[in-house]
Amino acid sequence: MARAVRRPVWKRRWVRVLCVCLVLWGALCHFVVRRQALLWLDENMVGTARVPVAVIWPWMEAQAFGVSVRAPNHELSATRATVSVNPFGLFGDRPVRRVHLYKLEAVLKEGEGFDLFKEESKEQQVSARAEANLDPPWMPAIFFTDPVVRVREQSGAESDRLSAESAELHRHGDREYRLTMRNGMLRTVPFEKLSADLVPRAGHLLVDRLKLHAFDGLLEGFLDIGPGAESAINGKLTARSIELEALGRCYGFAYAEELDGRVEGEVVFRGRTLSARHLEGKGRFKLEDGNFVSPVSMEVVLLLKLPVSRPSVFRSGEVVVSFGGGRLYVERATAHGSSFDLEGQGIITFDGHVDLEVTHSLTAVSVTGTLAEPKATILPVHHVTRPFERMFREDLPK
Amino acid sequence: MSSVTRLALICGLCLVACTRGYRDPEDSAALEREIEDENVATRVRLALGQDPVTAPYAGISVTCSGRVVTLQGNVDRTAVRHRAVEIARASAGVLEVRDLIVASP
Repeated sequence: MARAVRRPVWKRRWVRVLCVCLVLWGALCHFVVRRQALLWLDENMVGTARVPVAVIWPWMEAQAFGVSVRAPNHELSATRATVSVNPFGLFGDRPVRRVHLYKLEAVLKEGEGFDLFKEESKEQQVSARAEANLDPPWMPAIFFTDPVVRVREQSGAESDRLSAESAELHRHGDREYRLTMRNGMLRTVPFEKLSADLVPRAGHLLVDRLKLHAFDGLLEGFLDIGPGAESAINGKLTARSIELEALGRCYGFAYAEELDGRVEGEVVFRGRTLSARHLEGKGRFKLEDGNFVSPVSMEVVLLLKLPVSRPSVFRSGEVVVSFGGGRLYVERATAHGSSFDLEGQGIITFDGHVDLEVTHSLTAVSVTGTLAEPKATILPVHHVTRPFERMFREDLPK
Repeated sequence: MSSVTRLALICGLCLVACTRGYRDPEDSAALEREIEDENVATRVRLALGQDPVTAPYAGISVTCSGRVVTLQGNVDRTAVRHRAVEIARASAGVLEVRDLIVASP
C-alpha cells in the first residue's frame, strides 16, 4: 500500500486560511489608521482628528496621538480641545493619556470679526491652557509633548505665540506633576525656561513654584486656576532682577538703548478669565541704580526745562499700580534724577493711552496722548486745587 | 468776582480733578486685601494638595476672609481633620483657622 504523501506546510488548508486572515487583519488596521487620520468637522464645528505616527501592524503597535476640537456654533469662548497620547498606537479600549486643553482664547486687535479657523484673520493673540490632569490619573506619566499653537497672520506667515522648543510633563508625587518648558513664547513673553509644579485639586489647577526665566531675570509665584470656562484665577508673582534693557528691546520701548538696571517687585492679581482685560490687581515695582528714560518723562523734563544729563535721566524710581477693566492706574510713581525728583499719578489704558499728572515741586504737568507720543501741558492752578482735591476725595464715591 | 464765586470756582475745579478717575494707593487697599485673602486660600489648598495625608480628600474646601481661613467638608478620619487644620495654621499669611470639617467614619 502506497504511503500517503505528506503535503508541505504552506499547502495545508488551515495555513492558507490563517495567512488570508493575517493579510485581512493588516489591511483592516491600515484602513482604520487611514480613517483615523481624517479630520471631521460637523455643522457645529465639532472636529476630531486622530493621527498615527507610524503604520500599525497587529504585532507592532506604534505611537499615536489624537486631537479633538469642539467649538460649538463657532463660539470661541466654549472651544475645547483634547490631546490624547497613546504609546500603544490604537485608540479604543486601550488606556490613553489625555491632556485636556480648554479656554482656547483668541483676541483680534484690529476690530474685525474673526474666526479661529480662518487663515486670513488679522493679528491674533492665542492662548491655550492645559488642564494637567491626566486620564487615567494613575498612568506613569512621563511623556513628551509640544504645545505649539500656530497662528497665521494677515501676511500668511506663521508665528508661534505659545510655543516651546521642548515641553515635558512629569509625574511627581502622588497627585502632582512637574512641567518644564524651554526656549519658548508665552503669549508675548519670550522665556528661556518655564517650570512649575501642577497640583490638580477639586477641579482647580494649582500651580506652585512657578518660575519663568525671562528678560535675564526671574518671575516666580503661584496661581490658582478655577474650573470651567469662566474660571477664576488668582495668584501672586514676584519679579526678581528683571533686566530693563531686555524688556525695552523686546517690546520696542523708545530709548531702549539707554535703559539700564534691574527691576524688582511683586503683583497680586485675580480675574474671571486669563484675559488681561478681565484681570485686576495691584503691584509695586522699583528700579535702583539704573537708567530710565521714556517719551513721557522726556516730555515732562523738556516742558519744565529741568537740567538733564542724558542718558541717565532717572537713576531710580518706584511705582505703585493697580489694574482692572483694561486700565492701569498709576497710584504713585516717583522718579529720582541726579538733580530733581518727579512724582506722578494717573491712568494708562492697555492700548497705550495716557492721562497722567506729574508734579515737580509746586508745578504740575498734565500728560495726555499715548505712551509713544505724549503731550504735556502745565496745570497752572494745581498748587491751589491739590489740597482741596485731597479733602474732597474722601467724600466722593470710589 | 466775589469771594463766594471764587470759592465755588475752586470747588468746581476740585470736583473735576477728583472725577478724573485717578486712584491713590489707599483706594485699592481693599482690593489688595481681597486678593491676598484669595491667595492665602490658594496657599492652603496647595499645602493640602501636596500633603500625603490630606491630598486624597479633595472635598475639603478652603475659604479665607481677613486672613481667617475656614475649612469645610467631610472626612472619614479625625486624624485627617487634625492634619488639615495643622497644615492650614502653618501656611503663610494665616491668622486664624476655623475648623468646620466633619469627621464621620
